[in-house]
Amino acid sequence: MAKIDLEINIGKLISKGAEANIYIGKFLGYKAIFKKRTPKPYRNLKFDLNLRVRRTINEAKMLHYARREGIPVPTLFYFDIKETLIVMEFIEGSLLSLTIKDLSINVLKEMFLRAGEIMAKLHSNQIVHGDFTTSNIINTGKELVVIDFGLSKKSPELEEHAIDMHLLLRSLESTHYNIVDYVRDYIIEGYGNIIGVNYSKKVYERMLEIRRRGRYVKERRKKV
Amino acid sequence: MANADIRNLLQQEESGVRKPSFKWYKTMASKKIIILGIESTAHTFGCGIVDEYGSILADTRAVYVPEKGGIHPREAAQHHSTYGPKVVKEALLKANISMRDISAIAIALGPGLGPCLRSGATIARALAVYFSKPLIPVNHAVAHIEIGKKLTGAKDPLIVYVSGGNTIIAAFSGGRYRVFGETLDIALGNCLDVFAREIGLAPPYIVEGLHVVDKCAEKGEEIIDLPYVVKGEDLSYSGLLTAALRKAKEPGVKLEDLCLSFRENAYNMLVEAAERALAHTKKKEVLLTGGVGASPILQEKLRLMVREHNAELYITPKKYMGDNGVMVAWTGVLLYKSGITVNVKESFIKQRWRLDEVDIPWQK
Repeated sequence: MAKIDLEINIGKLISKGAEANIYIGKFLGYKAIFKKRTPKPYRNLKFDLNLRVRRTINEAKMLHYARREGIPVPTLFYFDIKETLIVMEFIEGSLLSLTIKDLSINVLKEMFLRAGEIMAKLHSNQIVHGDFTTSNIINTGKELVVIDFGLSKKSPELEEHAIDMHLLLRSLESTHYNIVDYVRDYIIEGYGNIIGVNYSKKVYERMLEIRRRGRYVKERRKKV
Repeated sequence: MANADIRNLLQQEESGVRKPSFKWYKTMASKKIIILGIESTAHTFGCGIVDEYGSILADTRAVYVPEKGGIHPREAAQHHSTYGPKVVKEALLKANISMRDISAIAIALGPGLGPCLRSGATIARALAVYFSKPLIPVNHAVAHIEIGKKLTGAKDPLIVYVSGGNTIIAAFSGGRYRVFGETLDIALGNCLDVFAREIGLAPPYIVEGLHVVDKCAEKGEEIIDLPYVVKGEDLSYSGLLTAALRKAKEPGVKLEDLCLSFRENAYNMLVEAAERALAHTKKKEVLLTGGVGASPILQEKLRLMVREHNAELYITPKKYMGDNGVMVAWTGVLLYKSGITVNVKESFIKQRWRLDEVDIPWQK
């Protein structure tokens, strides 16, 4: 295959996430995010490489799927399996998790309605995000953009959809425990607007069931 | 007592916790607090005696070891009822004090196995009523965390609590330990033990300080593909266990390779979830506690991960990593100082008492 020279310019490290380093730079003149999955010293070497490659391919694929279906995600520019690198569009804005405390009640409502809608759009296209938390949503001011598809997969199953819902609510319960009771209904409402109220009820029920399955959960007894 | 403390007490009164008696105020002012703690949530019946500064005056235990299979709740409970009184007596003897010197009885009311909890609670209630001592309700998970913090000096850590019955990643925030991630089905310790038992490596589960799966994995070379299930910061171990047991029956699979792959999956999942939580919370300390934390392999993996995030790893001393009475007694001290006791009549056991349901008034 002919080698293509790409004008790539990896700039400075802006964030060190749990599984990847995020750099900001230029790709063919566009401002871009470079997500590089680095080896983890605590993992067995073969295991580590396997996991990183699999996740890189997966994330690139899912970003592409989501984009194709018109879901607000960063555009995939380029990916390199050998380098376990993904290059994507830079999204101007701030993480929802960081700005939540400055938002007014009305804006909060809008935000979480929208978050629910985006989740429903992903699910109606059989995409499960796998880590749908406020730390993975960028608020651009006009729109919410979902990032980090490292744990995502294709699945039409109710169970997986319910886990996405569980993760979003769990992240709110642990980090934004003071607003969770207020926004919970809006998330469900937004979700139902897109995917249908019946299905959203089913997802919520299943989510409660998943929680009941865990150890030491109070709710479990009621049903038995 | 400072005004703020009294205000705290009034608030607790409203929330249904028993109002501290005059006697309580009197003891608080005059005598050194000494708490006797009883732990009986699973296989260990433990009794600990601790004073208000955290000096351990006594630590006695009796551990139920099943002849085959896992813990049978009823048999474990019978074990606790049989050996419990002896363990308590021994603790008093060791501390060289009488029941008169004890300020209050702390009891782990949950989470855990119902029958086991019941036999421990019965002993604690009897002691409390007979010697007219206040009874302090302690959450087992909080106890694991508090003893870890006390013994390692960690101030505000991300907590990785892994044992036979729990796999929780939590951190303090807004008056409670908030759960950032946990297992959605079985616990890590449970997963390891069942695997070891089913493939014929155990019992005994621990050989020369290593879990038999860790030991067997030392000779492994190849990585076999097994489910790796991290969902955000949550984990799921049941699929891994089923797949690994199925693989064990396949011809041509080397047991050592399987153990290595199984262990890598199981531990790496936990470390990754912890890493996600660490990146999310930006804490500078990580505290490892719970029985599975004794694994040197897991400790090493966590240490390597924590170093990358410029944080520090605190490991609870091995002796107090597993279930023990001392952790209950120490948490009892903290609760007692905050004025939290429970009426014997209302001291129900709570098999499913979640970590994030407990108010932690002593930490800011």
